[in-house]
Amino acid sequence: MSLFALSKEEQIIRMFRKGHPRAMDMLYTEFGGYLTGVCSLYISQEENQHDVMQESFIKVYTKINTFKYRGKGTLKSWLAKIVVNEALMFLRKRKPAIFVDTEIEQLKETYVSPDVDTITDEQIATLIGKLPPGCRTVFNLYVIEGKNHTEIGKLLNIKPASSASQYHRAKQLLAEMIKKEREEEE
Amino acid sequence: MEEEWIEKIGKRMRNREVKPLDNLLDDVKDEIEKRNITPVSIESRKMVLTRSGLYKIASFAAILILSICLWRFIPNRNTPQSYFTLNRNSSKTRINKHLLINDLKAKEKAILATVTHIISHSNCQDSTFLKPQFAIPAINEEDSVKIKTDDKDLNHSSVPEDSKQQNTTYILKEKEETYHGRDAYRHDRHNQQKSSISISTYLGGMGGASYSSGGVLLAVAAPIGDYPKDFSGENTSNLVVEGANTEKHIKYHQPIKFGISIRKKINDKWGIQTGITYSRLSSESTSEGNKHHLSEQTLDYIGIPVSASYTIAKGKHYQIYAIAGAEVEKLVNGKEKRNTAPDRKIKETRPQFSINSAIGFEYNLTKESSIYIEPGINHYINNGSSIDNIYKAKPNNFSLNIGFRVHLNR
Repeated sequence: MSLFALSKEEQIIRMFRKGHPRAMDMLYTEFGGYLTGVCSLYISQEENQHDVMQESFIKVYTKINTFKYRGKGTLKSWLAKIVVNEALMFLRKRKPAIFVDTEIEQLKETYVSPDVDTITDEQIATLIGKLPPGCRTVFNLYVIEGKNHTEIGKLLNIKPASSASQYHRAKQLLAEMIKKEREEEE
Repeated sequence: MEEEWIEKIGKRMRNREVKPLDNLLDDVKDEIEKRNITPVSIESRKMVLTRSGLYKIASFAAILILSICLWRFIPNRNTPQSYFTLNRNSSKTRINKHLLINDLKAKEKAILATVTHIISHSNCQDSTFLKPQFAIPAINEEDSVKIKTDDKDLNHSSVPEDSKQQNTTYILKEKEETYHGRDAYRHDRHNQQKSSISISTYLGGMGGASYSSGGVLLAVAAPIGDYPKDFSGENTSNLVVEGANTEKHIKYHQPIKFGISIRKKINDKWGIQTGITYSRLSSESTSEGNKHHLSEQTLDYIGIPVSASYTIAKGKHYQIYAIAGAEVEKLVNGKEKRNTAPDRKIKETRPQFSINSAIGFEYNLTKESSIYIEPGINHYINNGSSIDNIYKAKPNNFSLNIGFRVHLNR
């Protein structure tokens, strides 16, 4: 491999900057599956996923020339953040209740940590998709995006305590669903 | 600590890929065409950076002009450099002799000391006496230097006898000197060859502040800092609340750099130098949507530069040299003051490497000290960290170092 060979990400960025007609195709081929996976964690219905993904790619198309490449994986990360952002925008329009503080009943932590090694990624994603929208959004932002409750609170315009409650509830529900899924399999 | 099963889920979901949605690509293309969308031109960024571009052009032009001037004004390079010729057209004193410089080295110091001694014992207020640099020593009796002197012009009365016996020394009236500039230059250079170590302090900066804008929405939530989580979303509340695009603008202030270095001369032309530097980089972020001030970032770097210098020309009071080398810097302190969240520290584990070259102009204030100015070019190598600083925004830039240099054993 040549020392000066461009990475896939750099090639894509360069193609966009040159206005190459195949740039979008290459981007889609390279990251379409990954970004759809990210989107599906926030948006459960495929039709809605389509809308969010479409807006995300249009956003990428218009803004990619301003993106500053800083090493391997930075484009991928940037793209994922656009998708997450568009998903939140979508939820804000369609499900504004997510962005309002609600009193959530504190459940006792009665669940047992489930064994997730024996279930597939698709099963986990499907179960996450079954969580109520508010819990699901907080869960994804906390667990997958690595944000804390203060940050989630600012992002969703809710109190950090509400974010923590939502997250706690999401964990309980998910643990129960995973346990049930495994029992059905057995 | 988060439960293990949650961590496993997070890890697996982060790397998950699924089959892309049907017809999505075609729909995206159709929609782009339908809405007549065009990408944000990179020209808009270039416009913002015009100011720094002007700095670059101006600095480059300055270096180019100086280089040309130097080339034209440097004394004749064709003359063999191991010799110097001293020609004087004086009715009272005449010297015409090729002296081998290398042969002078061991003896010159003592001779110059003698000359200094002579001056100190003579009437120093008399401006007709030469400075020590112009005192031309005869090495010994074997050197067939013909010197015709006039008692009016020379004052041997105060010269110690032992000095007289050891060296033939003379002092000449300055008005009778008709040294060619080349001779003076070479002789001066010869004198300074004894200077092997110098210490300098300097203050430097890059060519102007810089601006950049970019990223969208959550994508630029927190591009600054080497955080374990690269997605903090501090500036996204506006997005969610207002539902509008928020573009982040970062203004990089001019970095401040100062340090101390030590230079060791290898020979008459070449030298190496190293030292330690301190740099402060600062920037501030604002969002374009509402001109909301987001954060201020300050980064403190400690660096160790290593470089080689080559003397291009040297005169009685000045020295011109080229310098090139590399520097490694490490972030020792970084913090970000945020309006919408608590302040936080910024850490960077990866070192920052850079290469640089410059042309230096040094003016001798005294025999042991000088001031200098070094316009140059730096290139900062992207270290791959997520810290957003001027090193990444402007990897190629022009710098200007000014400083004070002390010569330890000139």
